[in-house]
Amino acid sequence: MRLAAALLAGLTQFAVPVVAAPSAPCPDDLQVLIERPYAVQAGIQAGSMVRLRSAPDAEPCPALVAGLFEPRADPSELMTTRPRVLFHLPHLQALAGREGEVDYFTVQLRPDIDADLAARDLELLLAGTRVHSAAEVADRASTTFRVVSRFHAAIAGITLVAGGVFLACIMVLKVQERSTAVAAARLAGIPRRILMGWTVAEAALLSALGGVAGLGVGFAASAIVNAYYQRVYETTLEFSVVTGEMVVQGLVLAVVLGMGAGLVATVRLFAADPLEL
Amino acid sequence: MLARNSIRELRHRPLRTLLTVAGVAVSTAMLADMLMLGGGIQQSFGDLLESRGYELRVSPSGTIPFDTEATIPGFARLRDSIAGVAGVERVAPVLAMSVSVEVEDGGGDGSRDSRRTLALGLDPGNRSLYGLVDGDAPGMGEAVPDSRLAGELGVRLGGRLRLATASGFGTWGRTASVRVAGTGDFVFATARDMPVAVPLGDLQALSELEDQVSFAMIRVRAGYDPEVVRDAIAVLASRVEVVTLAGISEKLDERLSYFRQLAVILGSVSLFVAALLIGTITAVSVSERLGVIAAVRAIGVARRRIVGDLTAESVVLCVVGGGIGIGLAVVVAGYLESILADFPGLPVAVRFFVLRPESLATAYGLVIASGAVAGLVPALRATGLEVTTLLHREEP
Amino acid sequence: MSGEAGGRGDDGIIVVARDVTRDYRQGRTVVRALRGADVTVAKGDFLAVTGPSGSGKSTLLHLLGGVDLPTSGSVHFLGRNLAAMSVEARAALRLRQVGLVFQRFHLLPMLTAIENVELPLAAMRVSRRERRERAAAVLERVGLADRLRHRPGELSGGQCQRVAIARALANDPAVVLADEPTGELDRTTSRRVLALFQELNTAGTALVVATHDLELAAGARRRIEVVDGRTRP
Repeated sequence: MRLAAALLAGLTQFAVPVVAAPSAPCPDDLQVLIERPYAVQAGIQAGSMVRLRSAPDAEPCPALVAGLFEPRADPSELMTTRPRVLFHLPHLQALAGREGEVDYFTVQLRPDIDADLAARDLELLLAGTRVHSAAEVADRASTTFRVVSRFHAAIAGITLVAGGVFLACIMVLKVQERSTAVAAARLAGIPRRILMGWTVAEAALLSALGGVAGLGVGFAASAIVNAYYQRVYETTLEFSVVTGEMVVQGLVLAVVLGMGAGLVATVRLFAADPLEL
Repeated sequence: MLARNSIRELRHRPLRTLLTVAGVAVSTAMLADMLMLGGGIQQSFGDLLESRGYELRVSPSGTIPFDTEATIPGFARLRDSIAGVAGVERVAPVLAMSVSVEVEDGGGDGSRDSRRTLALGLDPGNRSLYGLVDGDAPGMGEAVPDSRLAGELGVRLGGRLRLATASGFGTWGRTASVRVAGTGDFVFATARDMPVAVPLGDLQALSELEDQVSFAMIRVRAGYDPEVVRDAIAVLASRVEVVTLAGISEKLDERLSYFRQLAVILGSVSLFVAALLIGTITAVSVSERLGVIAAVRAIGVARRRIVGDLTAESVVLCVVGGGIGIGLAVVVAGYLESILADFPGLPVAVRFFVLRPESLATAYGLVIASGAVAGLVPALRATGLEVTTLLHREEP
Repeated sequence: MSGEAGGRGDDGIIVVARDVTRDYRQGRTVVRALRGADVTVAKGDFLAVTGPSGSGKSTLLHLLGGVDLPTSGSVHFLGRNLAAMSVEARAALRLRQVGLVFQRFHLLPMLTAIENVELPLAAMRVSRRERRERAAAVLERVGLADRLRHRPGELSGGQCQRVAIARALANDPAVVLADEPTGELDRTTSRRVLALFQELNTAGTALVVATHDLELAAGARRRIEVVDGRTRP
C-alpha cells in the first residue's frame, strides 16, 4: 500500500501558475507542504516525492513533501485555485525565476498607528505599489459574501410576500367558512371588536405554529446545506447558521404577518350587515 | 355550464380570488426567476464568448483565461503549428498582465492618479476583447484604455499614459510611455477592472515575457467541428489546454454552481407553494359545492365533464396569476440582477438572470400544469364519492 | 330477471323494481334501508311514495332512477337491467330519460334560471340556440317566463323549486323523480308545486314523488307507502 501511494505520489505533477522563467534552475533541497484534502485524494503523504514545474514547458523539479497542512476555514479562499502548495519563499522565488520578488507582503504596525494613514504614507514611499489596510483587504475579500447576503435578503423578502399572501388566503377561507356563525354571534350581540380579536388571534396563533414548524425546517435545511458544502469545499466553514436573532425575527414576522392576514380576511366580513351573511 | 358557474364564483369572491391570484403570481415570478438564474449565467457567458467569434481557447494547463498569470512560453513556434492545423482560420494571442497606469502629462484636468489594472497585449487589429468607443486601435507605442479608466484618469485621445509592471519597490518597475489612440468597451471587464489594450509586442517587452502569451483564441473555419480542431491542437503541446467555449462556460458554471443549486431548490419550493395554494383553494371550493356536484352527477352529467369543469377553475386562476407572475418575474429579475451586479470577478456583460422566452414559458407551463393537477385531485375525490352518500349528506 | 320481465318501454312500463333490498354500511354495522320493495311506474303515472323519515323513500327513488344500485333484486328501466350497466352508462340514461328534483333544489348559484335549466341540455351537447329555446319554453311552462335572467339567490324558494322542476323537464324525460320537493317550502308554495305536478302529469309526464306532505300525496294518482324498507300499496 505504502509503495503504491509512493508511486502515485511520484507520478503527481504540479504546474505552479506564476510568470514563467523556463531557464530557472531547480532550487536545492526543495520542500513543500500540500493541503491535506488534495493530498489524501492523490495518495500523497509526508515524505512523498513530487515533481513541480514553474511553467507548462519548464523542466520539472523534484520536491519533498515535508508535510500536509489543513486549509484555513477562510471564506475568501474557498474559490481560489486548488490544491494549494506552500513553499519556503526563496524556493518559490528560485523555481519561478523571480529572485528577490514578492507579490505582496504584510506590515505589522505599532498599536498607536492609524492603518489607513500608514497605508497612504507607504504608498507614496513605495511608488508603483498599492498599500491596503487589513480592513480594506477584508472588505474586498468579503465582497462576494456581502453580495450573496443581499441577494438572500431580497429572496427572503419575496418569500415573505408569498407567505403573507398564502396566509391571508387561508384566513379568508377560514373566515368565509364561518361567516354564518359570525353573523349569528353578531346578531346575538357579541361586539365586532371581540369577534375580530378572536379571528386575528387565531391567525396569529396559526402563523406562529407555522413559524415554529418553519424554523424546524430551517434548522434541518441549514444542517443539510452545511453538510453538503463542507463536503464540496472540503472545509469546516459554517455556510448556514440559524442564530437566535433569526429565530426571534422569524417568529415575530410570522405573528405580525398572521395578524395582518387575519385583519385583511375579517375586515370585509365585519363590514357587512349580519343579516346578509 | 359548470365552468361558467366556477368563473362566476371566482368573481363572486373577489378577495379570495385576488389573494389566490396574487399568491400564484408571486410563486410564478419566483419560479421564472429561478429558471432564468438556473441557466442564465452559463448562457450569458456563452453568448458573450460566442459573440467574439473565436471557438477555441488555448491556455496553460489547469487555468482558464484571466484566471492566473501563468503563460505559455515559446508561443511563436506553437502559433505556427496551430496555424497549420486543418480548420484553423485565425490565431489571436493575448498576454494579460497586471500593470500600474497613470497619466504621464497630468491629464486634461491636471490629475495624477495611478491605479492597478489589467493590460491586454493583442495583435494589431485584434479587437476581439473590446469594442472601440472612440479613436482607433492601438499601433506600436499606443494604447486603448477602457473608456471608464480614461474618464477616471482624465486622459483624452492623444494624451499619454505611463504603464509600469507591478514589480519593484521604491521606484517604478519597467515602464513604458504610450499614446492614447482610442478608448474602448472591454467585454470581459469586471465592474472593478478597467483594462487597457496595447500591442502584444509592447506588453511582452514591458513585462520581459518575450514570446509568451497568457492564452490564444482560435477561430475555426466554417464547416469544421470545433471539437475535432481542438483535439488536433491539443496534441501539438503537452502543457497547454485547449478548450471549447462550452468548456469554458462549464468551468465558470462549476464555480457558480451555488446559484444553480439555489435556483433548483427555490424553484421547486415556489412550484410546490403554488400547487399547495391552488390545491387548498380548489379543495375548499369543491367541498363548498358538494351538494351541487352530487345533484349534477345525479342528473347524469358525466364525471369527466364535472372534473374538467372544476379543474378549469384552478387552471383559470393559474393562467391569470401566472400571466401576472411572468410580468412580475421580469421586474424582480431586474432587481435581483442589480444586487448581483456587484458580484466580484465577473465581466460586467455577464448576466445572472437572462430573459429567455423558454424560461418564462416553462415557468408558466409548470404553474398551469401544477395548478391543473392540484385542482384535479380534489375534483376527482369529490366526484369519486358515491352520489347517494353525497345526497344523503347534503339533503336533510 | 329477464329484460321481458321488466318490459321494454313499448308496453308503457318505464321502470320496474322487483324485490329490491339496499344495505348501507355505517362503520361496522350494516343498515338495511330497503327490504324487498316492489314498484312499477308506467307512462302517465303520478306515484306518491310516502312513509316516515328514514323509511327508505329516498333510497327507493335513487334505485328507480339508477342513481344507486340495489344490494339484491332488480331494477329495469325501459327494459334495461340497471345493474348490468356501467356508472357512466347509467349517468347517460339519467341524462336523457330521468328528471330529478331535490328538496334543496341544488341549483348552481352563479348561473341564471335559464342557464340552470340549460345544464342537462348542454351536457347532452344540444346546440346553444336550441337549448336556450327549450329552456325558455320549459321555464315558461312552469310560470317563470319573467325570471329567466335571475340567479337562485334572487328567487324565492318556490321559484327556485320551479326552476329545479324546469331543469328536470328540460331533457323531456320518461319520468320525473322528485325527492321531498316541498320539504323546504311553505304551504301555499307547496300547493303551487302540486298544481304544477298535476298539470305536467295531465300533459303526459310520469312522476314519482317521495314526500311527507300528505296533501301532495293525496294529489297523486297512486300512492305507495314505505314502512321499514318494505312497500305497501
